[in-house]
Amino acid sequence: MLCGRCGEKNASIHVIEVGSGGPRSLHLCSSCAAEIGLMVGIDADKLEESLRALIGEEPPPEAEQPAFESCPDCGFSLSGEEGSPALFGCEKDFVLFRFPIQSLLHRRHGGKAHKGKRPASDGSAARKQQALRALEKRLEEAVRAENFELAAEIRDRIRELT
Amino acid sequence: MNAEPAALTGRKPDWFRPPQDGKALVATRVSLSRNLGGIIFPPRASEMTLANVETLLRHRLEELGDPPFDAYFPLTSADSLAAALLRERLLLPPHVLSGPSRGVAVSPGETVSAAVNLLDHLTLVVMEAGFRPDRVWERADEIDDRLAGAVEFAFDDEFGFLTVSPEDVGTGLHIEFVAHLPALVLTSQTDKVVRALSEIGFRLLPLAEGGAGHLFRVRSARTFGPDEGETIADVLETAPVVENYELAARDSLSSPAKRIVFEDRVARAVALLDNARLMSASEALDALSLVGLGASFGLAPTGAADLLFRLYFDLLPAHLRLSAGRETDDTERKRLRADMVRRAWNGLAGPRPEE
Repeated sequence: MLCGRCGEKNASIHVIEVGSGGPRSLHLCSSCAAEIGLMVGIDADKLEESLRALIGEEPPPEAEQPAFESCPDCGFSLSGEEGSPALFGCEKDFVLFRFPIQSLLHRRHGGKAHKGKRPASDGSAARKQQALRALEKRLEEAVRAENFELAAEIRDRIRELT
Repeated sequence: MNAEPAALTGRKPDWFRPPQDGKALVATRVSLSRNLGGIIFPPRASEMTLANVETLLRHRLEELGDPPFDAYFPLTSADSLAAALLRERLLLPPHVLSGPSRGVAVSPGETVSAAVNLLDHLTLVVMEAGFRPDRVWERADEIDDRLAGAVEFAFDDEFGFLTVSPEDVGTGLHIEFVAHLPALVLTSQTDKVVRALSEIGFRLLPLAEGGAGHLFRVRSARTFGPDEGETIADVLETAPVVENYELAARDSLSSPAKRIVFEDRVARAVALLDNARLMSASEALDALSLVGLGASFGLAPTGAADLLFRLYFDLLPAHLRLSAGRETDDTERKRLRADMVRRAWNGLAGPRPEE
């Protein structure tokens, strides 16, 4: 089909214009469409952005290229040293190079995220247990040495802890 | 308490025993890689940081009380004889750094060990005889939990436990079993096993250099993605397959086509054990493995089945060098090894292939 405006080029844009006289079909080539301000070429990024907005999706992270070449804390860089495989140097590497590391791990292990256990974080409980065990040991020693005054003292402290 | 690795020679780790029912699975090993939160990892840490981490972790490990870490082996060089000995006993991670303030704490019988600053700040290892991944994992998990109560581990919601090597990030968990696979070696099927295992996320590694004694480690490789339960399930599924493969290969040795070749191999091993005056580690261990297998076919004395497991560590290069207690050259060590093997071999009574 030829362009309804210039009649020369192939029509590639098909619009339905709704005016006072009811809906009307327009068949235009891309240059005529641009001339009448219908269409200024498709900006793929803008299109993606509007599509994302439409389905309520967050835009992807700015760039997969990290802002740093190496970690300011430990000096780690993705290329490693002298061809040796990269060894991570501190926790920060995993923040600074999150996306490259993610794809590295995905390639190597096939997984997308950690699913396993988390550190048992109740440090206070562990420390309390430790203190208890130490006190119990001292209690035993005190009893063996027949130092009952000290033993009673230790027993009170154990009661406080439990 | 600091100790010299030479103190380990002459005794076997508790996890190293002949497989049950004369089958193939020897031991189970679980390792967990961990680092301390907010502290530079060992490859890039200063000497001061390393020293502080070592002091802190040694205290925390001691305070655990259970297991009692009764020996600490300081290790400054990855290439040293001490390192070679600890490596032969599976007390070191696969890759090890050199430098000050590094070492490994070991419990009696070597069932639990904790490598400090050797790659990660901490590598916790639990080993037991037999195939029991559930039980060994539970033990490691429980110690790991108690440690997490005493120190803060480097952890990220998405990445899991943060480690030095990309091979460990995630769970930091590798489960492996030690397997005796002489028939797979004899029938040249190990390459096939390596390929099949790598497709399901496992590696086949030799226990000693060159796979001497036909002993191997089958190790889970994937730490990022599968959780601990899935890794255990994979191991539970894989081990019987490997074992059955080995047992089928053993059965095939008595087929008419293979029987004479197998008998020949055993008879040659017997001749070597009877007569050799100098033996390399792989020569000695392969011969012991062969007569061990031969014993189950009535081709060698029944006691031969356990000989490999009785002598294994004593015959390894670093063990032999350290237990000699003096400078020895290569020939002298080969002689010591051949003497040791011949003494044990001659102590057995039973059928010989020629009889």
